[in-house]
Amino acid sequence: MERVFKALADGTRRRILDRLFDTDSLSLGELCSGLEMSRQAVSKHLGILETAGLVVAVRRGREKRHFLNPVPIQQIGDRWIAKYARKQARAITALKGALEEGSHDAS
Amino acid sequence: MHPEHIYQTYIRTTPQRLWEAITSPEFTRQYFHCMHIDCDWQPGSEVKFRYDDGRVGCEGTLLDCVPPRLLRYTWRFLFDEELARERPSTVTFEIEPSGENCRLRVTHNDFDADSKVFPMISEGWSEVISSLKSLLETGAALEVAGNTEASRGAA
Repeated sequence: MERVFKALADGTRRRILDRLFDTDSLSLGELCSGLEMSRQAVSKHLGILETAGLVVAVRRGREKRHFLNPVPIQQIGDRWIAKYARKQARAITALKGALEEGSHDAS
Repeated sequence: MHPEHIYQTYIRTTPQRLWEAITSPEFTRQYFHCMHIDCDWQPGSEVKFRYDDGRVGCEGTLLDCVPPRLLRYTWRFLFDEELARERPSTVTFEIEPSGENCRLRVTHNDFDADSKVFPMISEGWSEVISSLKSLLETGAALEVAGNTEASRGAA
């Protein structure tokens, strides 16, 4: 679980996860085109996300596609939220989302 | 590109036990929204997920069954009339031993581009897989997936 928190502690990596959340799966080339950094740097971030289990890379034909794997994030929720008030917590995040009109976390 | 979801986790268990968890009704009802799986495990046969009262929540056709490595079936969601009319999608379970753990990868794909089921299922699968992991590692499924006893997920 520590690897998940370390992977999530970086803004670029959160942006990569946002892109994968919006588009199902992306190749390294597709990911690079939306980020202003070298292919090597994006590849390094992807490696950290893969080690943490947040990204799964799967070969599809000739290319490698990267998918967001939501299970480690679910496990964080299950560990500290599920037992108490998942519905209430969800209502509050939905309210926050509505008030902020879906703006992505930039901090 | 057709819509596709992949879920992956490592579970401290053996391939045989994990296979049993995804194919035996006593196991699935503990972590799969109280539904038990019903199939004779012959490719081409029907797969049904039933509640205790006999109602069927999901159904499909068994495509591949290679114990304890690969299970693939088509998937039709019956909870809602409109969703039930959609063409069935495909769910694949792949089990890969990894040291003292097993890697479980669940792929759900073969959706039409405008599928209404696709955006609905993501959270459901995450809950089910997290609960399955908890059941195999601690002996208790999670409350969110229908079990009464909450348990703490292993780190």
